[in-house]
Amino acid sequence: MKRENLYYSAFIALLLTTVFFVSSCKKEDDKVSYGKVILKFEHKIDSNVVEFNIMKYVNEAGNQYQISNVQWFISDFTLYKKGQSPFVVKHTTTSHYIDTDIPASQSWEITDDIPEGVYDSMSFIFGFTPSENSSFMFVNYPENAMWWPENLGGGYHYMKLNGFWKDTVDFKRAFNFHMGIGRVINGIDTSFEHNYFKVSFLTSITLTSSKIKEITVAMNIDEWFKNPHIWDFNYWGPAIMENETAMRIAKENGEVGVFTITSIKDL
Amino acid sequence: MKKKGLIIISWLFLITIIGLYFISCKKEEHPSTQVVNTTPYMFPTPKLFPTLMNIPADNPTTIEGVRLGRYLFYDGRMSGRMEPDSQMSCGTCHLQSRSFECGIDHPKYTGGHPFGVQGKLTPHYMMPFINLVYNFNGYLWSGKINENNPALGSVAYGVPAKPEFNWRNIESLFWMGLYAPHEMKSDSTRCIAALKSIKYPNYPQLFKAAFGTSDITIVRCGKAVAQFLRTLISYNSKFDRYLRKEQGGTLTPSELRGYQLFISEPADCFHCHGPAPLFTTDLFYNNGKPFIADAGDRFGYTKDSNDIGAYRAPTLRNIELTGPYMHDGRFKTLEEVVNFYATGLVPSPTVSPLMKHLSTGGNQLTDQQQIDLITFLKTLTDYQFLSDTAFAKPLDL
Repeated sequence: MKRENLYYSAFIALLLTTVFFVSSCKKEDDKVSYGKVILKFEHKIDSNVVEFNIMKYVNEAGNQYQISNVQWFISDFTLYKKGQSPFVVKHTTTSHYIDTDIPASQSWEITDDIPEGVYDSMSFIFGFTPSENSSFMFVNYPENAMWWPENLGGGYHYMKLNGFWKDTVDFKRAFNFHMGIGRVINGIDTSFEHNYFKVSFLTSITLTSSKIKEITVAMNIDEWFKNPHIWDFNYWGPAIMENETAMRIAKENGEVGVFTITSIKDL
Repeated sequence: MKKKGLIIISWLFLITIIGLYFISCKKEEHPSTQVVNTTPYMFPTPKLFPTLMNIPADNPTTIEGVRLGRYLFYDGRMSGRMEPDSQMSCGTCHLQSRSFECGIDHPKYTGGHPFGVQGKLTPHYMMPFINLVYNFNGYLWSGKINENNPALGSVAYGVPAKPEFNWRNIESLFWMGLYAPHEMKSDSTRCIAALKSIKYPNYPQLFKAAFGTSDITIVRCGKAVAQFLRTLISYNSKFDRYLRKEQGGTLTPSELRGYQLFISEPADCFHCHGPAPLFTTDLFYNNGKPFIADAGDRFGYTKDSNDIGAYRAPTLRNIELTGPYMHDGRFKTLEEVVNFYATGLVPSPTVSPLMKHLSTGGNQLTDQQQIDLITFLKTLTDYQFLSDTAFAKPLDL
């Protein structure tokens, strides 16, 4: 009897071991109920794709300007479904760097398996929330080149938007419309303002297990200078990193109409 | 008997499942190009430094390869000339004490402008050979040596258009130096013949250790020298210790003021020469110098008119030792460079938008601010690197 028990115990142990090994491998069947998302990014002015390095644009303040390049971070891409917990991407990285000088960066293939179904809305963070923005969290190029000075709060630029405008005497002046943490100095006190913001879109996104959903997000650059605040380069000057008031205004403009979804399609 | 059979079947089943597990879960690996019996070189992993390294799959860094590369780097006979007064090696110009640049005080190359064995001046002044392994944006001032360059050979440098002479990575620097009329002005036949004839070091043996057989080829020479160059990592300056909060990393008030200026908008050095600890983006900028036409600028490679007058931003590490400065050596001292950025900028159609102090001629730093900035820059000198015997000329060469 004891011997029989031993045999059966051994058999059960083998079965449990087998279950462990089999379950440790990723099940192919899991893919059946999950979909994939690719985010694509484009940069526009007046509804058209930006033509870089050409002094052909005029903002609401009447400044003639041109764009050299745009470099920025998106983080915490999230999909929402009524009555369920939001789905926040987290598989490999919560953020993505976009650089108009690096074509490959203008597409973010999200590696997470996202539960299929109809989602009601999506959101992302422009830049980083404070908990996800610390100095030297990126040590490799190109992300590390977005480093933001420690004395200004540290972490990384949310965005570098570089270009030129023609000033009041028609001199072509460079501008660095750079956004990140803002430093506020009141007497001997220094505080920091985090100028990130959440961008939300109420739009239906249906994920199915057999298809990849491509969502194209446009940054409408002219909107940074338009609404609700009219941005005059002659007033704000070439650099705003150390000017929290300017960055707050830029943030408020960014929250309104800078980002739009231009297409959602199955690949 | 029945139970015994059940146990045997169970064991067979388990073995099969375990086997399947290891087969199905095994990650796909790149085919190894590591030569049998070589030892992988262990790179240092300094805190805050990049973790990605630009090492081509067909040339893994090994202790044996680095050893051979170090001999080749310093052996003037590699140029194919055996007479002592006409030999030239990489190390002839690239001095460790000058961050593997020439330096303005080079005993032979007056003013820091090297010339080749036949006296022809190099088209540009030098860039330092440090931390090259972290650069993915292209080598030389124009960045023309990069992964995406399809070119083979070079008419200007006399390098034949053969598949082995690509312009894709640090390996390419070797044949540029070997063939170029302003450098060794040699060729692979002479180089290989010379290496075969040398009694000491025993090159066939060194090649065998590094690459598995004693065959001496120009591709292997390039690979070995590139392996050595990739090991030239500078990471222990006073400022590195400051950044890592280590002993010996306390900055003086002037150095701190200089650092604060460096990362401020009013001085605005860090957008091109940042981030720490590399102190370069390895990207290309027209920095507002008075324009002098040059076929070797970024435009010369990309043919994009926006790149006219643009050059790679060099690292500022060891910068006090690497004068003269700029691609054409127009500034002899750090003081001249800092003063140029303060008051000497000139507009041009292709100036970088990061040069935002252009309308005022520069960042207008005061004399004291310029002194502080230079004081800070000198904290980037890595004396340990400059005297590391692992990078020096082999004592037995």
